[in-house]
Amino acid sequence: MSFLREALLVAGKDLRIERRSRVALAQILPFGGIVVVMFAFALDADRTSLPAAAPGLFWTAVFLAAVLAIGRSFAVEEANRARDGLRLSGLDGGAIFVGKALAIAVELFLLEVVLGAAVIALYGVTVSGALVLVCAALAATVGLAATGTVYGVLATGLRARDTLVPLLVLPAVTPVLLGGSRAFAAALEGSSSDAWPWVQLLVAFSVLSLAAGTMAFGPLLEES
Amino acid sequence: MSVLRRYWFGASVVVALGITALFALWLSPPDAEQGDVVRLLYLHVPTIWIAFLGFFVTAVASVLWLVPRTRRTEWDLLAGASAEVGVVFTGITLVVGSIWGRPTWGTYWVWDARLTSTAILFFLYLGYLALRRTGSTAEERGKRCAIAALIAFADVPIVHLSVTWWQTLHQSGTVFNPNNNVQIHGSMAFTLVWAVAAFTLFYVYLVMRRLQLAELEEGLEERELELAIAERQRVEQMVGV
Amino acid sequence: MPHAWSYVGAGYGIASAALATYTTWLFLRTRRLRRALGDADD
Repeated sequence: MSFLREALLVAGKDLRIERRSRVALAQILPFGGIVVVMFAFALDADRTSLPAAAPGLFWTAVFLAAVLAIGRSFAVEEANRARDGLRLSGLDGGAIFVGKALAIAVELFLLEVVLGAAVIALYGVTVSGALVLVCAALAATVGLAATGTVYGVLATGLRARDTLVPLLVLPAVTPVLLGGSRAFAAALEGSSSDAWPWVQLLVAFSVLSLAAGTMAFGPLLEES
Repeated sequence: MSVLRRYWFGASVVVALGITALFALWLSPPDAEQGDVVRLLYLHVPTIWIAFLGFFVTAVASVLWLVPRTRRTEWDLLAGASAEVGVVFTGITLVVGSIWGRPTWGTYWVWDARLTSTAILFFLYLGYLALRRTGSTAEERGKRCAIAALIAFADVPIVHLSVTWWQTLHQSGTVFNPNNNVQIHGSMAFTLVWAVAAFTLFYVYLVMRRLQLAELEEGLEERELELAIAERQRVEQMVGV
Repeated sequence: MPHAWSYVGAGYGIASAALATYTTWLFLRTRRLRRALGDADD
């Protein structure tokens, strides 16, 4: 089977599991929503401060939800010795990586759409530069999902996984947080041209993390 | 390593550091602009250099461990030891840099590119250290940690790049030009170079000691495992399994 | 610069304290482990 088909196979499996269990929908999405609301309380919101802070707050909420999504993606591999099943399946390690990352990316992107709408409504943001916003979000999501998937498999099987993964992932994806927030801020201010350089950074980061993950995932999945 | 040689090395480190302090705190002149506060830089610059050196060694040791032909437990232990020393020095860099910043910039912290990247670096390797305490077998732990170390090391320039970019956007000609306004020449340059050399020596000493400790810990783990197995066997014999 | 030496003192003090603590911890823990491993050799 070709690399792409193997990846799609794995991605399809993860997305099907989500469709049946609805964990992302029923738990992670509301969590993201709560975070968005929490910021308003925490920052003693008024009509002026929130829109200015909206890009950063949005991405922070997404990142926190992403950590949960990554944990979930690997939690499903722990039941019924599914991890052994993956290893024995003969699928290429890199393909499994791309598949899992893709599934996380799809979930995250849908999450971003909903949270984005919430932020627009709740923080009083006026939208502009929609194209840049979408491109930035796509690039950021891929980088976030790819990096998260690498750390997810790295911590797989460890009892401290749920506390380790956030500590490992969040510092590593700082460039994505920066790039996403600055791109969004520029776009919402109406200066989309300032946003595109950040999109480039996001794309570069995505490419690098996809490459790193494709190489590292297989060996990490193999247990000694 | 014989006892005498070990003391010799430690003693020379102490001497080197002592001379550093002598020059940094007394024999070198105050800076034209910063006055005596510049003396903190004789601490701040060496510590960040050591931190980077430490993490570089961790990366190299990790590669050596990952490559099957060169794989030895010692590389994994070295990676961990060097990272731990690196984290200690990174923490000191942040604190000393912050204290230096207060009189020079007026605030304890500023989100400039270098300080911010250093803070992220600190957390990246704190995570690595946390990861080192996990894992069942040495091989498993070695693999996870080696890959984590390489990802962290590769991430550092990316983080620095993006943070620098971010801060360039904020260049409103502010007070914060945290770069070296220090014109170093003469005895100040000497002090700085000496300080870097002395701290490098100190780094080597600390890593060697930490590596030794790690090897002892490995030995203890093996011992405890053997004891546990022997105990279990004894119980099974008694019970007649 | 006012109070310059307070800052210098604070910086050097904290750095020295941190490094001294770390070095001492290394020494003490090494000694403890050596003893533990030495004792068991009987």
